Amino acid sequence: MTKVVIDKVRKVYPNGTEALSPSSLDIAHGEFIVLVGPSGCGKSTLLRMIAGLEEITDGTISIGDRVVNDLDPAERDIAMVFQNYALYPHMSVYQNMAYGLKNRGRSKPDIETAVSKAAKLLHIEEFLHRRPSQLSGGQRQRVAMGRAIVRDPSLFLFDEPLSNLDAKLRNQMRIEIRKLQRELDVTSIYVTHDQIEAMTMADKIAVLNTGRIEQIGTPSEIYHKPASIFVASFMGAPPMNILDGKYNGNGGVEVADLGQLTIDHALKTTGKVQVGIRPENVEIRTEASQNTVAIKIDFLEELGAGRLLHTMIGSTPFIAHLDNEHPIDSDNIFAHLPPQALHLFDAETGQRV
Amino acid sequence: MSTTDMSLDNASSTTAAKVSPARKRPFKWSVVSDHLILIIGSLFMLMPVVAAFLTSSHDNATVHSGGLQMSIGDELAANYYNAMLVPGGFTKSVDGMRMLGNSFILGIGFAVGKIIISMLAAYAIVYFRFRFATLAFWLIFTTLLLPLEVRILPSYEIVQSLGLLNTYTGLIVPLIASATGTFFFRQFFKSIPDELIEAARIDGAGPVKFFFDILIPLSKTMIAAIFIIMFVFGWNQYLWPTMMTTDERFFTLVRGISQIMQVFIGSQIPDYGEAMALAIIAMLPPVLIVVFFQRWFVKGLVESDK
Ligand SMILES: Nc1ncnc2c1ncn2[C@@H]1O[C@H](COP(=O)(O)OP(=O)(O)O)[C@@H](O)[C@H]1O
Ligand SMILES: [Mg+2]
Repeated sequence: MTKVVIDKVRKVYPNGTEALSPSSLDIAHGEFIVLVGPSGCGKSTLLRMIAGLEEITDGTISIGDRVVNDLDPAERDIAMVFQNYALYPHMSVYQNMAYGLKNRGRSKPDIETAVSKAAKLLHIEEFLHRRPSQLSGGQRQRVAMGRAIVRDPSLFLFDEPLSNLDAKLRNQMRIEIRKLQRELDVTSIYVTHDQIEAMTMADKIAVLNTGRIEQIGTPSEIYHKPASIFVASFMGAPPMNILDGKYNGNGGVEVADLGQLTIDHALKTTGKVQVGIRPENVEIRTEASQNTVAIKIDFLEELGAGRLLHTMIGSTPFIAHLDNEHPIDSDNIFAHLPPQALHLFDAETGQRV
Repeated sequence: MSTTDMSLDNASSTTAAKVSPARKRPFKWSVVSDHLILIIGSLFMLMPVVAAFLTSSHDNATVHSGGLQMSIGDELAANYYNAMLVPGGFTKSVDGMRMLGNSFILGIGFAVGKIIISMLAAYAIVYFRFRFATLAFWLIFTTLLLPLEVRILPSYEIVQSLGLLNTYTGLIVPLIASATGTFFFRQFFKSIPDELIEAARIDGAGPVKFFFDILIPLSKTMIAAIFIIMFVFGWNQYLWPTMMTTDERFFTLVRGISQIMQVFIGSQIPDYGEAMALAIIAMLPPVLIVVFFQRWFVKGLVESDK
């Protein structure tokens, strides 16, 4: 049973950059947790501290029931998959996978069994005697995975492992990694800047922003109840529409260029707020009613399974996701913003209210 | 493109038009002048070697009176035989084979020693955080500017007081600290991606294992390149062996040649033919090493990708 506890961990690099302010995170056994955030937000820093590749400035990290702060990477019983695969170029695929086991003093027959089992699982048996340079990107990725699983570690760490693959292969590997992880039942921490990867793969997502964990939750919680304006706009494609408004204290929000919006709960804040609505929650009406605004179509983007309607509300871009079934009359359309679909954030703190 | 040439007769006019520029390439004077310059350059480099070889086939009297010879003489075999296999010098204890062996010991010891020392130094500088590491590097780097000759007297003092005159150790060890080698290895190690080092750390490779299992195999091409340069450099060492070795049994080829040329005792003529023969022999190993290692070197460059 391997749970991971990250307790008020902080990282200051020798040059004074605080890459991670004190952050805590609990990961249960077998969980697949994704750290997601824009480039430079500190995800790799956190992962590398868990791996033991970076010193921990403050706080403690435990893996299983050991505090690992002072343990070498090799003693932490972890395996890591790197963005550029980091395969040893002068070794064959077999040797790459066997190297860690050899260093741990495992016997030759033992190593052979472990490598061939992992190779079979990843369908790389036929490449075992090739050099990494003789493999395609996808195959190298598999070998890197193989090197990780062959050791049977108690924790997998992934640092953007799919970002060098083309889109199709990425989708395929995403599913494969997830299936493999379930099968092996190994706790995993996966770093990515790609919110789609995060949504589709994670049991639990931690969204990071400038060295802080903004929200921890299941993909559905993160998507449907974003804790801050940052999470709301980072997760989801196309992104959530955000409008500036002012709370008038009696169940309504004043929005420039739109008018009065009814909302479904009272806010604890007074003053400026930001109103968010996901494109797929916007409804298209043919007549004005409550919470509607007349719009004109700037551009219709055909997605096959639906369409994206691009428009402007005042000077703010606004997107609605439409289905294919209802034809729209371009002269006379109104966007309806249902009260229960509105996300409200304090304009000053960015927090959900 | 012989197949296209053959099918040209019944090819359509468009393909013929495409092919024709290659067949009737306009004559360019620049090609002639380029080649002329290259040929003159090559002759310039080759003539002394050719002259040395031809002179090595004449007897000493001819050379003494006539200078460098540009024809083949009839003493070729005799000169090479005398130079290589007949013991000469004052003590009559050393022949060309022995000097050739000494040169190899110096060349290889010098090159291998330099590679070992500079790899270890570069490893420390690049991978271990210690105080003043950068300062240490720059200190080593600035000694690049100081040639051996600058420190030759103190080096001699030390070697002498250690009783290492006329030993292979004394001949090789004082020369092997290498700023050049350290610099090249440092630059190379810095180009190895950090991820690889981190993967090795997770795989349980400590500093020693990492050095032998990862760093040395990855450095193969670099080692070959430095070996070529340093072997030739060591082989051609003259000043240090001249000071160090008074015992003829430790003479290198380069040292031996000068010795032959210096034996004006009474009216004796130096053995010009033998000296030239030794010079030709002395030239061969560096040439062979370069030719042999170069292929290896290019192969390594093509195959490796980090
Ligand atoms: N070795 C280092 N020294 C100093 N600053 C660093 C170092 N590594 C990363 N940083 C900084 O820390 C921040 C977080 O980096 P990182 O964790 O790599 O971000 P990412 O989320 O893109 O993986 C960035 O601002 C980066 O510039
Ligand atoms: Mg990163």
